[in-house]
Amino acid sequence: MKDDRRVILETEDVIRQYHQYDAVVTAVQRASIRVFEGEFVAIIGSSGSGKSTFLHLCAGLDRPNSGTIKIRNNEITKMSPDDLGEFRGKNIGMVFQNHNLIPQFTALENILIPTLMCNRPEFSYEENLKKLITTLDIADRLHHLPSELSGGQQQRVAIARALINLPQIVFADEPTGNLDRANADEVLRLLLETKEVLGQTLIMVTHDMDIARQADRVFKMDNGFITPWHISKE
Amino acid sequence: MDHRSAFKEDERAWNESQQKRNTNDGKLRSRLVWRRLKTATKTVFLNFKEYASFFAALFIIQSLIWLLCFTTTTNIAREREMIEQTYDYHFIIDNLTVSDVAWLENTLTLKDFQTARSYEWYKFVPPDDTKDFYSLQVRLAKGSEQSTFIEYYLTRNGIDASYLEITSTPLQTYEEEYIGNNINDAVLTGIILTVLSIAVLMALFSIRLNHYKFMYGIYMTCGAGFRRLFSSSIWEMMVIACTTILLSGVTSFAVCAVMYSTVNVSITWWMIPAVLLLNFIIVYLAVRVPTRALSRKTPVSLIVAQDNSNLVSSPRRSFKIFNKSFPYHYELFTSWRFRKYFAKTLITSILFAAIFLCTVYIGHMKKTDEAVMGPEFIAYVDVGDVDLTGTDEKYFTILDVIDVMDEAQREALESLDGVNYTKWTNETSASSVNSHILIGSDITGGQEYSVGASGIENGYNRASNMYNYTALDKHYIDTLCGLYDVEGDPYAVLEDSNKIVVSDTLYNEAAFAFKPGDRVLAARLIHGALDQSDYLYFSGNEILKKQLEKCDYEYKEYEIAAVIHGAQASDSFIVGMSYIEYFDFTDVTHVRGDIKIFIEQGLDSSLSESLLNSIRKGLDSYVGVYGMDVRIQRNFRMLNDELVSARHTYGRMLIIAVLLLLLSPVVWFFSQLLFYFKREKEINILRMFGARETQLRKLYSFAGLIMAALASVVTVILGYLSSYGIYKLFNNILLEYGFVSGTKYEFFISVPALVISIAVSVLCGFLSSYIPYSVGKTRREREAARQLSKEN
Repeated sequence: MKDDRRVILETEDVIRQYHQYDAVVTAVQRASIRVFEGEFVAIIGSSGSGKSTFLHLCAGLDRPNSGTIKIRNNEITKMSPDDLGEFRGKNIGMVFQNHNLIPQFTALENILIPTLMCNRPEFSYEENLKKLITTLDIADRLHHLPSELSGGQQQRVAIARALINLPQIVFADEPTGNLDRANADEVLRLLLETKEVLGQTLIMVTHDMDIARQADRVFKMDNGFITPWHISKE
Repeated sequence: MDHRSAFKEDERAWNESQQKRNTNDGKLRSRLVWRRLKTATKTVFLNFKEYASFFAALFIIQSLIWLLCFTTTTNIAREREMIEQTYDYHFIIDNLTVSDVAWLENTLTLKDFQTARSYEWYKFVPPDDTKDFYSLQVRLAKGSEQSTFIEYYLTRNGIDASYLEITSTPLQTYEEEYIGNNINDAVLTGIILTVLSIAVLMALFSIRLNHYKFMYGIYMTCGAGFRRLFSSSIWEMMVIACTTILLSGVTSFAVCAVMYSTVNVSITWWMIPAVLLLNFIIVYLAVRVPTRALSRKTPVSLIVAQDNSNLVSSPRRSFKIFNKSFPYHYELFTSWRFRKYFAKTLITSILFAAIFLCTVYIGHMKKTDEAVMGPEFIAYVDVGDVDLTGTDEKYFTILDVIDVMDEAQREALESLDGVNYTKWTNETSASSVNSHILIGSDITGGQEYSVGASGIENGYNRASNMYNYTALDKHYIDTLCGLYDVEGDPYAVLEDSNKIVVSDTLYNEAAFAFKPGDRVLAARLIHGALDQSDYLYFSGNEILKKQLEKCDYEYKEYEIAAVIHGAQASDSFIVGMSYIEYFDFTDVTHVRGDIKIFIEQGLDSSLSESLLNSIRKGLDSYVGVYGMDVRIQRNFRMLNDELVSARHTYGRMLIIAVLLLLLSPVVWFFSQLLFYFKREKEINILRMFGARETQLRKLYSFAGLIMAALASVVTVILGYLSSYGIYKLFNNILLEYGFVSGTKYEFFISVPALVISIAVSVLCGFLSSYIPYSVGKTRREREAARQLSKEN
């Protein structure tokens, strides 16, 4: 049957190896997936299975040893560091598990970093910022340093930072890993809400089966191998 | 529509938006520049402490550049003034007869009416009791040339210039030689200083990038590429550079004024663009290279190194810290973990202390150069035209006559007021007479100064022609014995024609292992010659190899009577023999080479001209004997020495050395403060688990002591190695490739400079480790007091 959906992310035989002293550790082994526009894809797997590494590779934050990664048909593995940086700034949003906010910047400054790095005159940042801080409920914490925010608030700031440039694809690396149930549900709700509103694609690494159940498709990573995984919605 | 077509459409839209953006960028460029300047200024001044090291480094770098410009222009201006005080004319024509003068006066007057004058003024100096001829001093008009004057006024009027002595004064050669020397010196020093400045600024910037890796990782995650990172950094550095440029200029001006003891420090228009340009090049390269390297890394690798973990070298296995003492063992282990970081910091910062020592050494070398005496005059006794036709005398037989004359002349010259000593040299290179010597392989030190000659004579299997045959007399031997260490009896060559004196040095290095009593074979060409093309395609040892193959030689065995050790030498050593033997063996047709006349140091250069006349008178007795003639060349050495001494080269080198030394603390403190700032989390964890304040103070002090001890050792090692490198570079390497003259320098480390550099390194090593503790403690106490007052 012909599939009319547009492929936004396509990986083929991606391999990532690390050299640790004399040993070679293969974190990702011949990973091939295809993600369609507007999808919510979850990647599950045990600790050390290579989920985060694979996500970083897909987001262009790391380079594979071999294989190809295409986003919107652009082969990011062949891009120069500069082109990749610009591409990342315009198309990709990234949410880390441990927020990775710059400690000496306020919440607002952290959110606005992508706008400094990647100026897109066709967008109205002010309007988008207003929408985001209202949706994420961080309006009263904008001028606080990360150290003055709770874990949930820090993660919301990180989400706002990932979304400020209206990226087409958002990668989230266990965004709820450090949060309690209530905060985790709230963060997921926000991510899904903005995904729906903005028509984004969301690719999330998670341990949480409840979250994985809400995804359109699930992949499982095991020892670096990625395979489609069926998970009961019940 | 399938997804491939959709992507193409998408791609088109993307490209259009890119083009639109580029157009907008063009329109907004001027606003963007202003915005970036404003942002950079705010960033730099609101975070002044963070950028203090860059302020200090750029101030020092700019001071160095300013200093170079001020001293160069001041030297050029002062030297011209000094030259004009002694020589206000461009050249002098000697040996003019009365009829020449009459012709010239006529012509000069007549031509004045016909053409534009090529001279400003001229003056005839009449004969006096020291000379029998007229001299003409000429000051040329601006833009005129000496050759044009001679062609126009002398040659065209039938005055034969070949018997005249035309000497250019330093005023004439000023632009070619003196300005050239100053400019060459400044350009060379400028290049070295630029390289050093780029190195220090790059080191500081790399330290900064390394410590802020996490932040740059986040920037890159959010879309920043090299251009974005570079543009923000370069603007910040440019703002700092613009802030310090004026202050450094004023400081350097003041330093120069003190050094020259005058406020008349010369300033020219080209200084400002030169300083700005050099400054831009330094900042641009120092920022660009590390930023480019950083931008090539993946954001993930930068983000994971958000603490000092990226500076840790893995110990491979855990330390057995059970039952070990705190803080001493703890800090020792920590130092080992951070060994690569410490090594880099030590070498980078102490490198400038080593460069300080090297600069002092180079200053010392310049002093040695200035102390080397050169002859004020060189008299050439021309015996090339000796005419013995019509007499029964052979060339050989007149040697005795000339020797007697030499002795009389020498006494006459050396008795003149102001003459220090004379040096009568007569030598010819072995290659010019197609000769060489054969020596045993145990004598030659290195393969590069000789070629294999096996099969020619048993035991003498190496051949060399890198020497001069030198005619020795008692006077010359006395001079050699006074200057160098001579082993054996050199005077024996005067008695025995089978004995020679040799030196063992090439390129200021011992190259041969001659001993008195050794025997060598000297070659005399019987027949055979190389093709002209051989001389085109081959040189040095290759020519000698060809000669050994193609020519026939007869050999004479000589015994080495004495060896001269450590003689200053470039590409030739000495094979000395008596005058008779020299003439007999080399078949050189003329006997006398030249007479170098050295003047007492400190003599006023204005006396040079009157002394020249006396010398000319003194050498008069040669003229006409067997058709001989004497030519005297002025070297203006006294004036040159006065000019060189007025340059304050040593003082300038010392100031440059001190400024370079000041870069060392900048690197020390910048690196260490950032390092300990990031170690605060570790220290707070230790505090949380019960570390007492005294223990922590000891920890920092101990870390400081380790660094101080290492710093002193590294300073001595680096200082010695770099000074030795400079010694080899100037004494042998540059000499071998023809970049410097054959001055021989002694290996030298200034003890006071070494003590200063060790003191600076030790203090910086200790304080840069201890100060973060005292700063942190003060901050904690202030914080506690603030909280307490809040609670109350």
